[in-house]
Order: sequence, then structure tokens, then C-alpha cells
Amino acid sequence: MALRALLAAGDAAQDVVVAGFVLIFGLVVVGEYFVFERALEALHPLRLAGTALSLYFLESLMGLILIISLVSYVASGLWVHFRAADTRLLRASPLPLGALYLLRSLETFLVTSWALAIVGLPALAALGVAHARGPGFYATGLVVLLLFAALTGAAGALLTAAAGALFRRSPTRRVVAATVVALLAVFAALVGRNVIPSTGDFYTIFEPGILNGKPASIKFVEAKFARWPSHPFAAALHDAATGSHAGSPATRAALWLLPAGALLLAATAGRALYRRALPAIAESFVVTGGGATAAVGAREFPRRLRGPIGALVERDVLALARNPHELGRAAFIGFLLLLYTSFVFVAPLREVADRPTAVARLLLLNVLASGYFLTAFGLRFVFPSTSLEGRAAWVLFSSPVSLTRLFAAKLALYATLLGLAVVPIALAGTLRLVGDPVLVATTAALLVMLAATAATLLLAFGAAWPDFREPNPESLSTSAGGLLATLVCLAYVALVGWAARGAALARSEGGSVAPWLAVVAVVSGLLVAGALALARRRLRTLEVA
Amino acid sequence: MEDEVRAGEAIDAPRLALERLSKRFGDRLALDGLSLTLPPGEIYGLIGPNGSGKTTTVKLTTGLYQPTDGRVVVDGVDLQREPERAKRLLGYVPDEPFAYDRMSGREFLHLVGALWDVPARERARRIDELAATFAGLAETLDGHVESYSRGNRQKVAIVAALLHRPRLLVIDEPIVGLDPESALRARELLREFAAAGGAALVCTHTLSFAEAVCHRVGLLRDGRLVAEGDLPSLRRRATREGSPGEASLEGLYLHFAGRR
Repeated sequence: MALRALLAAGDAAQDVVVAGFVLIFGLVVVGEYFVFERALEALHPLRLAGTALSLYFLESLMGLILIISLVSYVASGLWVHFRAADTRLLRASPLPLGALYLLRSLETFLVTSWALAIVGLPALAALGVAHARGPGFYATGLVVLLLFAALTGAAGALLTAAAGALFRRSPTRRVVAATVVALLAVFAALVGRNVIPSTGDFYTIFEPGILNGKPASIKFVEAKFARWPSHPFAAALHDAATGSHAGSPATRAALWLLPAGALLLAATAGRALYRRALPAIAESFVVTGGGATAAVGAREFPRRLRGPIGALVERDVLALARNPHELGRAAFIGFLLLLYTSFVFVAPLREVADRPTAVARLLLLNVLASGYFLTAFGLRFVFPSTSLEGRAAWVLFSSPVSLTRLFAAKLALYATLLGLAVVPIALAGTLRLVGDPVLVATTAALLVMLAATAATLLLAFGAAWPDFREPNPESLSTSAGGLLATLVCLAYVALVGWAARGAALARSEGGSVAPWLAVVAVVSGLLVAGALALARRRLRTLEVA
Repeated sequence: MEDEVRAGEAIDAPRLALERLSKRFGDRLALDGLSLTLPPGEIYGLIGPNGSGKTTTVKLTTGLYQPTDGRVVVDGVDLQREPERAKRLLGYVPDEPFAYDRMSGREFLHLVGALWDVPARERARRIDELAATFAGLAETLDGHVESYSRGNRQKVAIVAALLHRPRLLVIDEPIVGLDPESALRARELLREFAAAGGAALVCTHTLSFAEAVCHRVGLLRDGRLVAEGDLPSLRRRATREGSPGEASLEGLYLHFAGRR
């Protein structure tokens, strides 16, 4: 009953939901801290190579935060700056456009600076503990992170305003998609080439040598990241933690000059671009099949699929394809997936293939990463599926369409899409890590069960607790139902990860993987059956206000 | 109207029968034992003050709400027992005719037609035919629904409701947002629909519209039907209860709603 009351959503329920998500983020941050701290501790005995590796670690981390923050800022910022629900109201008010730009920039920064908070802060804490530093280090570290936040926020605002100005003349879907894909590919290539260490990088780092009074390995890392805007910040953190001097005087000056310059540019050029772009976009930004008008052509519908269920599925696809904001979010999660793919193909995974414990740990991480992507995609696109019928829900619910058949069709679609998006990449990682066909097949089976179960849970929970008044998938996924779905999914992902690790260890000791597969199969079966029963019961009695 | 939809058990079954229909929201009884019957060819107007239970009745009749008690029978088919079969016989125009914003009006109408299993060619023909009823609608249909005015959304909803040739039309506020010419056309469409054997349940605050098209009118107050009948019988009853003999529907409304 208490759960039902919570899911019915009131003020107290909202507080519980916020507390729930804070708890999840807290657990993630604590988990990251322990991983970072253990990794940095392990680098200590490696002396010069260890110092270089810890610098590499910081450079990679800050580079990743920079890219994720910028992509996330632009993906959300294009909506917040130009298409937020209250834009018309604020434009009709005496608020100057410059002030609106500042407001939107702060709003976007607050919702997209999570990467800095949940990756940067635990890394700072782990760095301080691993190098046994005092309060001065943490104060310096916080200043560095704040300067870095200023850089990412200002650069994000500038890029968003520039993207708005570029797209202000109602571009076609193809132009938007091509631009986004090209940019993400460039970012992914940058990450693949620089951020993730390759086997060659490790050989260079472990080569002894001193160049101009500095270890060659440090010089190598500095040179590799010298052009990255995140380099001065990584170097400053490294210096504060180790007492060494990574980077030149110019690098140290850039620590202050880069944020200052970015803020100045955002406040001048960014504001000017925004003032030019907003009026045009507010009036005409409709992504169409072609041309610059709002017309989509005298077409029949559905064009590809048949029957009532096919028409509804095609409508979902069409709605996504015509929604730049949602496409942006999909592209962002896709981008994170691309980063993970880069890691799978660049990182020297084969080097640890002869160490069963390391292999088991990496398989666990592989399943956890897959689970993260499945949950992230699912929360954004599967869970809100029923709620997004929205104010037009009367059409579906007054029609003679069988909701059970519709649910089944959507489940098949989403389970397939989620599986195709995540399982091949995770399997590629597994294949690079292990050669044992039994273990590969076991991991494949676990991943398929993971995708199918996650899709079922998220679709069923979304159907069981829909909110037809909320048009924003982001808000829907952070509702009480979303929280419950997230918690159940994460617990289930942890179980599958644990099973993957257990199967790998059992295999290395000559044991059987069957018990591990059986545990996951039974739990998956129970979860799927429960979720389907819940959805079926709720759909039968669902009311559309 | 062509007779494409298979009806319920009885050939002469009323197009709609509400039997002791009740709906409770928490402690509040929104609808209290409403019973009414619509024979083929009848347009029935349901009027009443805000919060009297009109929209609740409509949502119960279209399957958007589940009744607390009682049942809804559409052309002989029980809505709760066979929802898909009963809904096939229904056409619905909601009070807020929202459509899917990122579709064109034509795509939306095709989608609605597909949901009711209307073949693609027939859909295209019916859309053109019905859209031509309203001046200027055909030219608007290929733009995104999100750019439509309230009136154009209303026209699209009316076309959508008639697309599959329903037996029963349920309309919550039929002419809100329509220009006078379109309101007249909507009135004619409704009359043609009834003349061809359909029945319509119309909830409205536009009493002149109800007076012009409804064969019978029911007045809801606090979830109960307090008066029902054609205009002359309602006038006779009002006169017996001390109201002026030639009262308009507006006068009758005020009388039965207890406002004077």
C-alpha cells in the first residue's frame, strides 16, 4: 500500500523520489571513489611509470568529462535555450534576450554538469587519499574543478548558441542528423586516439629515461594531451597531488586564461548569436522531411508497417525521428556507447587474458557497462512509451486496439533495438578478452537475457504508472515509477554482472558455468513474468483523464 | 450511411444503453446511477453545470474510465466485457481534441483509420470526402498538427470520429473553437449521421446548438439525471413547476439546474 501511495505521486512522494535518486547517485559516486582509489594506489609501486600513469589517468578523466559535458550541454541546451515550454511566455515579457540567454545557460549548466560532479569529485577525493594529501590539496583541487566547470559551461553555452544560429533556418532532418553524426564521430575519434591508452602507449610509458630533467614517460603524456583544453586542469591536479611539475608555465597560465576567455566569448559572441537565432528558431524550427516549411506532404500513413499495431509502432518511430530534442538525447547516449566501443577496441584487453581474476573483473565491468546503457536507453525511450501518448491518449484508449497486443509488439521492438544497440559491442569486448567459446556463449546468453529483461521491466513499469500530463521523457524517467524501474534494473544488472564474473572464475578453475546461467535465467524469468502480470493488470483498468 | 460495422446481438438494439452507471473518484461520487437509452437516429444532448458529470459520462461511454457500478452497452455489445468490439462501433470527439503534434493532420487521420481497420484506399477517400465538409481544412491537413488552431483541431477530431462509419458518436463539446460556418457544417454532419441510423450523445454548454440539433435533452446535476425529454415535454414539466411556458433551453437549463 505504501508503495502504491508513493507511485500515486504527491508532494511527499516527490521527496522520496528525489531522495531515491540522490541515493543512487551517492552509491555511484562512492563506487567510483573506491575504484579510482584502488587504481591510484596500485600505481604507486611503479615509481616513474606510476607517476606518468596517474597523469595519464587524470588527463583521460578530464578529457572525458570535457567531451561528455560539452556534448551533453549542446544536446540539452538546444532544447532549453530555444524550445523550452516557457520560452514564448518569457519572450512576451520585458525580460531582455541577453538575460534570457544567461538564465538558459545557467539552467543548462546545472542539468548537464553531472559528469563533473559524479566523476570529478570522487576522482579528486581518491587522488588526495592515494597520495596522502592534506586539506590544502582539496582546496586547490576544488578551485581547479570550479575553473574547469567555468570552461565547460561557457564553451557549452557558446557552442549551443552557435549551433542554434547554424540551424535557425529550419534544416532538414538529414542535415541535422549528418551534422550531429559527424561531430560525434570526431569526438569519438579524439577519445579513441588520445584518451584510451593503447598497448603502444603502455610500452612508451614503461620505458625508462629522462628528457631535460623530466621523466620521458611524463613528457610523453604531456605531449599527447598538450592540445586538449582539459590538459592544464589535469596537470594542475597532478602537480597538487604528486608535488611534481607537469606542463609548462604556459600550461599553468592557461588554467586561468582558458576559463576567462571562454566566459568572455560566451558573454559576447554567444549572446549575440543567441539574440539572432532565438526569434527565428522560435517561429520556424520544425524538422521536416524536406524544404523549409512546416508541411510534411500529402502522405498516407503508415508507410512501412501494416495493421493497427504496425501503425502505432510506425507512429512512435516517426515521432522520434521528428523530435530534434529526443534525437539529441539519443545521440548523446549513442555517443557514450561509441566511447565505450572505442574503449573495447583500443584498450589492450588481450594483455590480461592470462590472468583469470582480471578477466573475471573485466567481464563484470563489461556486463555492468552494458546494463548501464540498456537502462539509460530504456529509461529515456522505453519507460515513457505509454505516458508519451500524452494529451492525445484518448485516441488510443478509445480505439478498438488490443492494448495487450500493442504491449507485446512494443516489447518485441524495444527488446530487439536495445539488444542490437548494446549486445554486439559488449560481445566484441568479450571476444577481445577471452577466447574460450563456452565463456563467450555464456556471456552472450547473459547479455541477451539482460536486454530482454531490462526492456520488459522498463516497458511494464512505464505502462503500470503512466503520466499522460507530462510530455518530457526526462521528467517521466525521474518519476516514482522511473525510480522503481531504475532500482530494479540496477539490482538486476548487478546480479547478471556477478554471474558473469562467477562464470569466468568457475571456467578458469575447470568448473561449470551452468549454475550461474541457471540463477540468471530463473531470476530473469521471475522478473519478466511479474512485470508482464503487472502491466496486464494495470492496462486492463487504466483510466485516461 | 453504409453498414460496414457488425452490430451486437440484437438487430433493434439501442445504439447506446447506460444502465445504472456510477463513477466514484475517492470519496466523491461523480456519477450516480445514470441510466439512458439512445435508439438509432437519435441525437441526445447532455447538459449541466460544470462538475455535474457530463465529461465523466462521456469517458465512461468511450472506455476511458472504468465504471464503479453499472454498465455501458454499445449497439448490444457490453463495453466492459468486450471493449475492443464495442469500441469498434464508437466514434469519439473529446472536449480537448489533442492530436499527435509531430504528425500532419492527414497522417493522424490515416493513423486513426488504421486503428479502426479501415483499408488504406477507403481511408484516403473518406479523409478527402469528410475534409471537404469544412472549408479550408483539406489545405491545412498536410501541415504539422502542432501548428493548428483550436478550430482546425476540432475539425480534424470530428473527421477522425466519422472516418470508420461508427454506429454511435460521443461528442464532448462539438463546436468549441469552430467558426460559424464550420459550426453549421458540423450541425449538418450530425443530422446526416443520425438520419442514416446512427445515434449521438452530445455533451455541450452551447445550448443553442443543443436546441437546434438534439431530439432529446438530459440535464445532469451533481451526477444525477434531474430532467430528460424533448423540448416540449421539458417545457410542460417546467410550466407545471412554475417556470414560464415558452422558456428557451437556456431558461429550462436554469430552471432544472436550480438556478432560479
